[in-house]
Amino acid sequence: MQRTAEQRAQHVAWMRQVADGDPDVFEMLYDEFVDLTFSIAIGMLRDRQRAEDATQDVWIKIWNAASTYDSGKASVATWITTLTHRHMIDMIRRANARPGDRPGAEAGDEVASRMSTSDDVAEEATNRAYADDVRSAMADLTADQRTALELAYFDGLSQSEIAARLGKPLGTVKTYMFQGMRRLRDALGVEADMPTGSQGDPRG
Amino acid sequence: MTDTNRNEEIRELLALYALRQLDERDQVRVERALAADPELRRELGAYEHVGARLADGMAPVSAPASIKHNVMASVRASAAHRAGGTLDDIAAAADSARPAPERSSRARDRARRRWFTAPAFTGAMAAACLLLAVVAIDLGRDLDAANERADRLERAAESNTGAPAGFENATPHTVATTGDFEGATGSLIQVSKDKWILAFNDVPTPAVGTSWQVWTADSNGLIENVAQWKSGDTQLLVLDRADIVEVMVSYEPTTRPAPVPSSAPVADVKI
Repeated sequence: MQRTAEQRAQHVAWMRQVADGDPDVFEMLYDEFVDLTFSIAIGMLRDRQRAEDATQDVWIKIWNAASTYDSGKASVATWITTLTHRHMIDMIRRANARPGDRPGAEAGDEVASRMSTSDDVAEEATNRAYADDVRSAMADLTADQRTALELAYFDGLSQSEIAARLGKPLGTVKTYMFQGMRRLRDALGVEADMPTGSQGDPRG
Repeated sequence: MTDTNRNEEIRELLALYALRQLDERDQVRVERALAADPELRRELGAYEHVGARLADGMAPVSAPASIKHNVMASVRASAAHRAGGTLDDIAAAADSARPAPERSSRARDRARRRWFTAPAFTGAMAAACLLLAVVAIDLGRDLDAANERADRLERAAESNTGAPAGFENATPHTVATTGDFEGATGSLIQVSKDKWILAFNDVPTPAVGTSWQVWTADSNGLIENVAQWKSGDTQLLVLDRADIVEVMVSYEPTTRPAPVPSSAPVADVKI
């Protein structure tokens, strides 16, 4: 979602008030971004109940960590997205590392079950509607780079799991991911010296 | 390896760091480099922004209202606690997160009693009850009355809807402290199967550029960073940790957490 400079500035002001412990402002921040966080949760976990629990946990984390937000490094939207994505990755990996939690389950089953979900909402959430510039940038990647990035970012697979999935050596998969990220960064015009969340950040 | 080569290698690792793809050793290398180089931090910000643009491609799904009720109950209780509110203030703050249509006239008069029976609020209510216990134990305010009230709330919770999974283990664990934490008093309470409250009183302020970091260890020996203990805080919600056997606080020479504690814990509780 693209946001205006005024909206981005408003979000930064909200974060300062949330860091000072204002629950009313936190509620406004929640209303603004909860659908974003829930969409990431259900898109990655592909299970509505787990996504609800995870989203709840993310928002408690946002409340606890608001004072660590630095507007010079990222927009509020990027900060919340990064925090949410990390939480989902950690959940996926923790579930994969504990196959004993489910009788007869083995490592990797968690991912497999997410990939084969029949949950309609989750199914819908896996449909990706990239913005035009992102779609164009993704189209410019090689198929291997694109697949490696999507498996890493959306499915939370580790390098070795991606290597096994693609039937490629680990080093090659690392190269796919690095080159893919760098090409996306360049294609989207995100420069290293441009603080995200600045005027040049179209995402907000 | 020359500095130029080393910098280029770190730059390659940054992209993988943003994707959470690094092993522990490389993660430590990147975090050390990030702590020392603002240019690298800006570059990481660019990769995180790329990730955020990818996330934008997820099909939008509206979050159910029940999440908001639970989150706001916890947040309002936490805010009241941070503001030094009384136990009644904290309970009322959590209570105020009830859905508006249910809060009218007589219903509002009975809100506190009925709050415990609403299934959607069982988790938040349990957290609030235990928060009250933590406040009572760790802040030392009106201990007898506060404990009695917390006990009453807890009994009410159990008698109405039954305790959530793991609630039976809610006895506070005392945290052993040493070194800089020797004067601090701490306790750990299991709120539900995978949620905990870590509470401390009198935590010393870390030197500028350093931090206290909170860690958990599970039965497989996996150590994970939870959060930084912020100056002035008296409690921290530890989320999504189901099978932990130990919680620790360590001194870290930076404000960014390393993959594992870099020094012996100054506070430690074994479960």
